[in-house]
Amino acid sequence: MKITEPLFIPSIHKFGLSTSTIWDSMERDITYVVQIIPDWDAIPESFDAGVIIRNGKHTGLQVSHENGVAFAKGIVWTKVGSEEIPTVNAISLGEISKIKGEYINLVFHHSHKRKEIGLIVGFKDWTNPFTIKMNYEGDVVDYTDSWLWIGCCLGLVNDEDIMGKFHGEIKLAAAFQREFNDRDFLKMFPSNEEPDFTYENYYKLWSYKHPIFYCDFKDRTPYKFKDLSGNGNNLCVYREEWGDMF
Amino acid sequence: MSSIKNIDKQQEQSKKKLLDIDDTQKVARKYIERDNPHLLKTKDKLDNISPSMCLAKWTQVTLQLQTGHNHSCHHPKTHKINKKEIARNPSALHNTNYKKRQRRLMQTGIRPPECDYCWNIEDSSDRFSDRVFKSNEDWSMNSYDEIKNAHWRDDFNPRYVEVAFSNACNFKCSYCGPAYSTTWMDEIDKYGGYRTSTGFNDPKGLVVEDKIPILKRDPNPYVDSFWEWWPDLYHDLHTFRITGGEPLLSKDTWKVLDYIIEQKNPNRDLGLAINSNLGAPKELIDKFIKKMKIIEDNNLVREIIIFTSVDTWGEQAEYIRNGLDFNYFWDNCYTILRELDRVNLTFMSTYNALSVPNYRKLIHGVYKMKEEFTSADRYWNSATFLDSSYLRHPAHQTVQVLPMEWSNEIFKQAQDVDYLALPIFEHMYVGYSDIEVQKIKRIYDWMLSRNNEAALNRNRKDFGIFFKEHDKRRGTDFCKVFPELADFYHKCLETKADWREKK
Repeated sequence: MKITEPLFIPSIHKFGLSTSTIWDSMERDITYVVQIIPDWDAIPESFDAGVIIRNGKHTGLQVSHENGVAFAKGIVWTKVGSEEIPTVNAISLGEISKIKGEYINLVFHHSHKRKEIGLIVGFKDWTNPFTIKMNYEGDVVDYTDSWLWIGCCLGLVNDEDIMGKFHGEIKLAAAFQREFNDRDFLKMFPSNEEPDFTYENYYKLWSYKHPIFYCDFKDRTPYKFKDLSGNGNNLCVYREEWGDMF
Repeated sequence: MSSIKNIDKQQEQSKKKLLDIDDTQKVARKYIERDNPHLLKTKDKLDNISPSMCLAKWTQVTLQLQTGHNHSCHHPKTHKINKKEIARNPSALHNTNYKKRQRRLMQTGIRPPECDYCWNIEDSSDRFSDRVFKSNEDWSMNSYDEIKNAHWRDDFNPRYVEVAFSNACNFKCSYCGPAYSTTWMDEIDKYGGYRTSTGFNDPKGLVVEDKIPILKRDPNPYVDSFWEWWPDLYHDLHTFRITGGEPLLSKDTWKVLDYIIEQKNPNRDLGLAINSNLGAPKELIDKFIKKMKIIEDNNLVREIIIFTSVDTWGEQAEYIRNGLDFNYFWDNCYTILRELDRVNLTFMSTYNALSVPNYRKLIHGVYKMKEEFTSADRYWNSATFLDSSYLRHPAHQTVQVLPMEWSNEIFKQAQDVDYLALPIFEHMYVGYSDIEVQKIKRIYDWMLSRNNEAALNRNRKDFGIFFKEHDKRRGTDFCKVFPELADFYHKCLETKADWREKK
């Protein structure tokens, strides 16, 4: 699905219909899983495009490129003493000219207990994904009021720089309360095979990973994409005229 | 000395506690003032007359002409209309001596006991009661000065009138009764009431409450008085809603529609609403659409809302609403939306225990209608509404009798409606509104709130007794239509006083 408008899940469901809440998800372990095709020509150089982000002091997954080389970044902000500092974990995706139009499979993991953020990256024909982990100092800053955005860093603003808009396609977006390892990654994105993100496959393989939401972007209304996990965390399209009463 | 010190200390603590409560109330009040300035203004205006004042006692009435009962508003129990009073003054259908005495209490600051629904809310919370909401409506507040200056003996033409002309009805819905349905009446005449612990629909209850319906073929003095009053009432009306029975089977419904059509000087401010089960014979449905089309095309009213009823989908809906042919009904809904391109069709769903297994299909069916027929030309934003209200009586058929795992299904249904909901309630958007989502969530919350184990066992036992007898009398087969609930049904049949659900 080509991302044309920001998508979001509010921190708290206004009718209490979410069974796996977003607001406190950074106070536990969390894993974001996505499959994307960035439109590298449309993403400005040295610009952090939000793939899946909790806004504020942004945390989650971003992509960017510099001097013809693409990167995936995992980020979290922590409080050390009285200071708030970012911890950024970055991984090179290779030269843009070689990866243009290709699907990138990405996993971001935050381990609350180990104070660690990790990234797992793979392309369609990779038999082994690439994993890096990094520890952070201090405690994660308060994200309880932050919304979760897909396709940008913050949709509530008009300023392109602050919005951090992602250009490209997204085929899967999901969040789990359990960590993904390389084996899980290859089960989700099998090498040289078309992955199956359908509900049936999700239910068979992934429901045990304590999903927060899971969206293959196939079931939709004009305003929402269905959360197949059954947790009621549907991805809402954001438009300014709708205000912020979600 | 030490004991005095202790008392002082205790007094100091109580004082602090009181101050804390006072502060909390102040904060709550601040939020109420911020979020509802118009309601606060209305409450102040009412209090200016008296703290027990409610305009709805003047402006709103429900008339049950088949039994000669009325109430203002819909919260107090109905009371009998005096035939002698209406012989002298047809507006006594609403302005009964009994009601005038309640108005007098209100004007003098005394709370009428029949309005305890609102007093309970006001005494137990900072929330506004319906007394404020109903008085705040256009159809009430516009008459504020007139009512303020009125003497309690004065007659007053209501602005919001609901009327049932007769109990003639081709359906006998499982939770309904003879006061509202002639087919129910026939069944009760033949077999008597059901042998549940409450004696469901036992005719003795109707005698005690003086609610034996007047037969359609017999003269009805209440209907006669209504027609005497109608020419005077019509031009004062803000909203007129015809209920029943099945209104399309009543000649008086057609008389109302013809009256509106034939008026040289119609009340174009009138909101016209009609309830129908949309299961009447084809020629009546066609006639109804034809007349509504004339009213719609000639702008003879401000708006038209057609209320219909269905509680779930397909065969299961047919079982709940005995007499319903679901496909015929659904086709009629489509015909109405196709032919009448301005009306709103509201589905009044009496959500009960038997609604749960298949309600999702109804949710998606109504959504399809919204998609197909929502248009800026309609009186309301949406072509259809799904108004899901939970059944409270009879207790044996409410969702609370079901095993608790069924609450998950209700929760999923609320999630489904939320998924199909729109971001803001505007013409250009299609989907469910916040209130449609909340009403299903409320059913879930209500199911969870059950806490009386003894009553639960009694109601489950009644569930078994009622549907066993229902199948016998009506030739239906509960377990065939509700295979999902068959085990539960059998357990209900075996229920002893000590049956407990496993936690």
